[in-house]
Amino acid sequence: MIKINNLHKSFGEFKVLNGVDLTVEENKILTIIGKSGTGKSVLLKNIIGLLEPDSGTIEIDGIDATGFNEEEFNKLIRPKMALVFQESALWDSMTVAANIDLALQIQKHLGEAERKKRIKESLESVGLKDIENVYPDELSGGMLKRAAIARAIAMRPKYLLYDEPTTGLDPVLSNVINNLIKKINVEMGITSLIISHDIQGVEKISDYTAMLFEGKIIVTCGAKKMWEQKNQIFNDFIRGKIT
Amino acid sequence: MNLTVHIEKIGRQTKSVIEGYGRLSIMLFHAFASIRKFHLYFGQIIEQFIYIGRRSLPIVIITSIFIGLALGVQIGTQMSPLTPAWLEGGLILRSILLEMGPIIIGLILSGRVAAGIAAELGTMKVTEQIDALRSFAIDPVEYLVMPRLVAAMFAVPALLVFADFFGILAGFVSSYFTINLNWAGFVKGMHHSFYVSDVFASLIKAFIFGIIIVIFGSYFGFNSRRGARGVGKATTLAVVWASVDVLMLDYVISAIMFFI
Repeated sequence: MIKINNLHKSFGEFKVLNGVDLTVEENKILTIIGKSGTGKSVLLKNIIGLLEPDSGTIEIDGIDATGFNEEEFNKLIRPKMALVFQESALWDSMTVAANIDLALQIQKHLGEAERKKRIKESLESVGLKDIENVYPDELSGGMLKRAAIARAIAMRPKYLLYDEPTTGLDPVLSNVINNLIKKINVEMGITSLIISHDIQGVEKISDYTAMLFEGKIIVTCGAKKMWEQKNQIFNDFIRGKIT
Repeated sequence: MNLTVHIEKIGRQTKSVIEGYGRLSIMLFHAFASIRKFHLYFGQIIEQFIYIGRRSLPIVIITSIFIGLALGVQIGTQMSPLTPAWLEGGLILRSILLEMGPIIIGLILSGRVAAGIAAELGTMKVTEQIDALRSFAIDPVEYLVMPRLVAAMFAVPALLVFADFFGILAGFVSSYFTINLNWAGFVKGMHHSFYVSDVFASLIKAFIFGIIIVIFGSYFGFNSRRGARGVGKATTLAVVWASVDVLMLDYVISAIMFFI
């Protein structure tokens, strides 16, 4: 379980997170929605230790990761967590297989046979075949996202964080990615925390959703109960009245 | 009032430069500490050795040849008619060994290698590829900087050997055509002025310049931001600061070697 308490993060004078409280239940999919620039990605980066919070706590499986240095994050937190970046962030000087292989080799210290097996399995689970030797710049947008997801699931993480996985994709591809996220959650039992603007997708795949507004979580509810919420800002946002 | 503003500005800039050197030193220390894991990155070290060493070789040879040719002409035409011609061999040898060779290498590689590293790492930074490494518990300094550092520590002195060889050879050719100095006379001059300590000084300079070039390229690459313009700025800063530091350290090492 990921438990976030009273998390604050500023960049200079600009307060991005202003007391975020959030709990991510195991084996569930939680989607965080909110306007652009409200700090959703900042929240994910705080959880995985790419950014350091100013105050507040982040507990992951009962371990308080607040104040952890890079080495502690690498040892205790990141092996059980992976992040799918908004722009995929595949290492562009390497083939898709090498992208997946690198983390398996350095983080997991797996032997060659096991790594090859994992590369094949993870690419198959995201519906990509015969692209092991292809470079990221030769892939389409949807394939890039799937390759990035393959890289993440090859690590067999307990938690998978997705930063706007469907942004920039057409509705058909968004649907493919959303189905994939659901499949990963159900079949592999991976707890997922998603940042998304895709309200239809949120409703379809999430167990519950939370809205980040002005640095705070203002609503947390079951995804199927989104339309019954009383909060005006939340209602306006999911109906597309504010963006 | 105006003066106070200027002084404050200079103060702020000085502080920023000192802080920058501090952060760069931490990165360098971190990269050195990571050398204990070099066996994990052997492939990258070889790849970087080829990039820094083999691919820089043609430009290093061409530049050294022209520097050697120019030295031959300059020294030959400025020597007094009463000075024995064979002395030119020694002058060319020491000029190239102690100064021209290391400086050429340092400046050429600041332009070619430091710029390349800054652009590559800068692009990785702005496209979140460095954050992706961290998210997978891969230390970016260990993975990206250390292999380049180790490669440069071997590749740059190796390049220097080629630069010195071709520079001296070109110096002889130039002397032959300028003052009609033959090979035997040239070798006599070199033999007369040769000190083993000069070779060490030269190699030490190349070794340190290799470190400077990689660390400045990496530091500015890692700190680039705001898209393509940021990467361009990082590349420029890497070249400028690496070149300046190569020249500063050239003086410092020369002075130390002189006093030793």
